[in-house]
Amino acid sequence: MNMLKFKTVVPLILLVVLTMSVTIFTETRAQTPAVDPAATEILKRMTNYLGSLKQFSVHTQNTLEDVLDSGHRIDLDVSASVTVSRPNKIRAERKGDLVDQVFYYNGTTLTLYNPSSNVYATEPASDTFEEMFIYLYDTLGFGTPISDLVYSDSFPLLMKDVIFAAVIGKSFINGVKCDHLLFSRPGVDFQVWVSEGSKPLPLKYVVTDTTIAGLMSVVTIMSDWNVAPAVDDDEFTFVPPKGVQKINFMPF
Amino acid sequence: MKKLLQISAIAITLILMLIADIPMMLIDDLPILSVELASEAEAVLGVRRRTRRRTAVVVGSTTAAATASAEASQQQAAAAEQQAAAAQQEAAAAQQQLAAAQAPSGVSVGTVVQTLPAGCKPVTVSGVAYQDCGGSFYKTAFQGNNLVYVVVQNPL
Repeated sequence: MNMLKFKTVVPLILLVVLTMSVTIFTETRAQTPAVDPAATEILKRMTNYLGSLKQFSVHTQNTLEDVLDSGHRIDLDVSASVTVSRPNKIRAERKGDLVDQVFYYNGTTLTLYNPSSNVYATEPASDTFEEMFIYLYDTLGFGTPISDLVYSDSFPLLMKDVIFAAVIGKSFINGVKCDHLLFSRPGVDFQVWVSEGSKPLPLKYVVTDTTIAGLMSVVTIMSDWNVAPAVDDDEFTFVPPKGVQKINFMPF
Repeated sequence: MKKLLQISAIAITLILMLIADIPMMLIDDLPILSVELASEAEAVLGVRRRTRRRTAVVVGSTTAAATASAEASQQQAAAAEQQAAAAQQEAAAAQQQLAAAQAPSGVSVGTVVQTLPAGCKPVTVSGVAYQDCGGSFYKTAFQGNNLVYVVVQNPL
């Protein structure tokens, strides 16, 4: 009698245990995809909203982590005021450790003006943001922080090669409640804080270079978002002040 | 019957041990679990570390080229600005060498520096502005978005 009990109970326990372990395994897997659709959905909402804006202005504070030859870790800061008028006008004033300049783009020409050195250079430019930024980077050799804000659809750009995405949680940036998202692609981790509500705007970016041991980052805090600024087309065209010297861009 | 009891006891123990292992294994392998379990900064850092390890594997095995792929704007900015910082340091070094060499007109044409040597005078030739630095002539230019000075032939 006893023996019969064991004979039936043991396989039963085995079966239950096996089923349980399989269930645990598959459930955990199902709940944790590498790219969380909740994160991409919020990012998509943000890029759609940014793309829908005809004009906007924003203040950005860029902090670039750097290490001196002496080994000391320092921050390099650039403060910028950006005004964008779609489809193809931008003006950005940047001041900081590395730059003091105003960038103008009016759909036909781009100009870089250094007020402190009283010099400027100007070049004919393509009539789209995308091509203009490519030209800036490839031919003139300078990168433009947060240029993805300006693109009419930056979603594919931000999602390119992404192998991991997650919603980290809720946080507050300058007092505004945000969704904190993380996206990772080979060599780069990208965090973005997107404000909640009907205006899903980015309020903070952190881009981390994961290819170096120190994991250096560029941090951008965005404030004073104005999604309907009073914009005059003239402000995108550079008018040389008296005595300013015209110089050239060196080919990159 | 005793034997059967022993065998089944061992089997159950083994299986129970296995179950205990499975969740642990999963937590280690799947970074997102730790995010859900703890919202502290440490957990976030943990994610970053693990993500990085995972990334490193991917870079190593498949898409190293994708890393530097051009158009991620911030990435570019970081690189450009780091280059700028590096260039600045290099320029400073070049500057020191320049001063040490004390060869006022012996600087080779095309040399790019970020700061002019001491004692330069602005001169304008055919509407173009130069800096005359003891017989070496510099023209101002943008290299990327950095202001630099390029050594040119004597325009006079």
